[in-house]
Amino acid sequence: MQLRQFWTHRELIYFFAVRDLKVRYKQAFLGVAWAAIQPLVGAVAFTILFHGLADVDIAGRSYFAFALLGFGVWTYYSTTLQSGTGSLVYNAELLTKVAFPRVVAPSAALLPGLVDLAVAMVLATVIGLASGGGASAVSLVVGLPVGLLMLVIAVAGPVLFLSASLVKYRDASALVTFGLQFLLFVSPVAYPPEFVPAGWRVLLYVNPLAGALGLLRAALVNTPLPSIGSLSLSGAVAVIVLFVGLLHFRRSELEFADII
Amino acid sequence: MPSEVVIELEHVGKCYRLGEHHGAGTDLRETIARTTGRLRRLPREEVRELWSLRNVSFAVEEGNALGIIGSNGAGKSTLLKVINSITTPTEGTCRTRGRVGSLLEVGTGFHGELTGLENTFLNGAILGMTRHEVRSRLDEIIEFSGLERFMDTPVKRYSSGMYLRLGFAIAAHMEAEILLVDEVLAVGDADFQRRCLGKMNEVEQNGRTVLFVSHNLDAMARLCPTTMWLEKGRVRSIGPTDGVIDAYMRSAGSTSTGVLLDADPTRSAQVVGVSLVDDGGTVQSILSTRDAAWLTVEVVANHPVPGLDISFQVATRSGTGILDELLSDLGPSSISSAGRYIVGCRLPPVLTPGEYVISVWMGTAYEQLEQLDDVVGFTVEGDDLGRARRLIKLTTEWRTARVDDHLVDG
Repeated sequence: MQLRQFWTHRELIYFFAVRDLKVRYKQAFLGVAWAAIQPLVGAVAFTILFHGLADVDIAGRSYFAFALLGFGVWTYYSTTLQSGTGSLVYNAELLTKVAFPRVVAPSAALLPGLVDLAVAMVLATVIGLASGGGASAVSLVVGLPVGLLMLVIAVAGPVLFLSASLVKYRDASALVTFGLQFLLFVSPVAYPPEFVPAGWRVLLYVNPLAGALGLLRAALVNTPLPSIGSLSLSGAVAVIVLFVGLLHFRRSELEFADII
Repeated sequence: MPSEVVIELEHVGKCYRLGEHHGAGTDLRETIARTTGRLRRLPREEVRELWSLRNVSFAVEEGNALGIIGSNGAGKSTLLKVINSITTPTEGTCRTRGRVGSLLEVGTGFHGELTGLENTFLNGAILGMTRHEVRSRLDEIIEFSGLERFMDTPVKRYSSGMYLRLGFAIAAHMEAEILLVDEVLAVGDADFQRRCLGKMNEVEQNGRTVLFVSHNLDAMARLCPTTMWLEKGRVRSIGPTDGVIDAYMRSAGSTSTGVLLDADPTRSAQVVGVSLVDDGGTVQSILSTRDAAWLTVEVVANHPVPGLDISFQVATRSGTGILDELLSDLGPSSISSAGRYIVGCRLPPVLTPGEYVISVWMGTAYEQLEQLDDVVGFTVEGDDLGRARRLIKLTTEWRTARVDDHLVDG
């Protein structure tokens, strides 16, 4: 049922995503260059703070490329969570006046950030290669698609849950702001997982973002692949949260038009 | 061969709860407070229920057009929302067969930053058309809208008329088995209105099903063989259009000689009464063709509203506008300060025998504070002097001059 809706309305998802992308870059002086500037500046900040001052390091590889990729993934996660949470309320007029599957709006919100993420991934890979890195073909072929999928699922679950909640409770957006601040510290964005003592490390992977980061970094900037156990934990949490989010969305969507 | 039923409603009811989740979203804190209140067995907060629709049952067969009439708040829009599955009925079932297209709120979902062309594809997708469908009808859509030269302009630079024309053109070119139409014809210029009516006729003749909600009873009589009259969320009657419209007009005419509305101290200014009074100050519902009268509103302004303005519209019961008069036609607003006012507009004895309705608008150049459609009805009685086709009678000036003097002289 749900999947068929996705398929029959794939064009609407596409048009919503394209609308958000086009609108973002219209009347912007630097335009698409922002997609490159943001992660570069973020990576510089990370490098000064964590590498320079706090002495965080990753054995034998470019910390800058590592931080750049981390920042790109984090930016995708945080901006998508915010725009996705607001996606129904942002389209409130449509919700009350046009019949279309409501799940389209939060689904479309998952896409525009992927463009910026792709730019950050290319930059990180190039910088990593230039500073003597380079990942194996196997980790690239497996890590990239699985990592991306895990990242999208990791954000899709909360987006579905929170966007439906925001229709009824406007303070869901405050929860997002607060939650993201907390999440940035407990996710291995600026530091490698090895930074966490071995005994606690498995807890890190309860957060699906850690699994996705591990996979993408192994694929693009040649860090060691997290253990299968850690990855399975991350993947399982992401999928469970997705189902909880979908269920909550399904149960709430009938009254969206009445209470938004 | 019996036609197939394409819309079927059985005992449909729609209930809105007022006082809860009203308007903007609620606070989590309120819910927690309510829940704990319930746990502690505190008396429950008063929740008012409003049944916008109640026990509505009807069926429409393929290729038919059904008109829906009723006063404001009778549940017409809610009914269309239920059929369009924008909202779900609280009770009963609503079944439709085939794709439902709607000309409700055309242009919803346009994004100001995108061009007309980009919005055409976006809006088409929102309405359920595939990209291929939109592309194959693109020429027709653009031609119908008459916006050939503006398709690459962001719609934020469009006038409201252009916006509406593009929205209507897209919606009207969707291949839908069921078409819902709600009052779109009230806007746009005469030429565009004519094209819209033509399009609806065409849709109906193509064997598709139309639901038409309007105050324009003339158009309804032309387009819909069957009409349903909704009153306070219930079906008052359903049957051949002429009979239903007659009954509706009679009922509306007999009840409204003047209305009093509840005062709401939270509003800056509002209309609290509308009536038609004669020169002696008595409220009237029947005028003679010889009598002048005063269109009168009572206004309470709780705060000063700079530039507060009032307009009266008088229309025939079937929806043809006759007068649209604005207080500020006289000059600067005389009701800008806080206070209670009675504002009257003299209605000269120009109306011909028939049924009329008065609508009132109040607002400023920037906002609308009040829009009361068809709020008071009245009848003009008298002799039409055998000239039933004219809408107003004026004392016209005539001149005659004899120009054949030389012939007479000769």
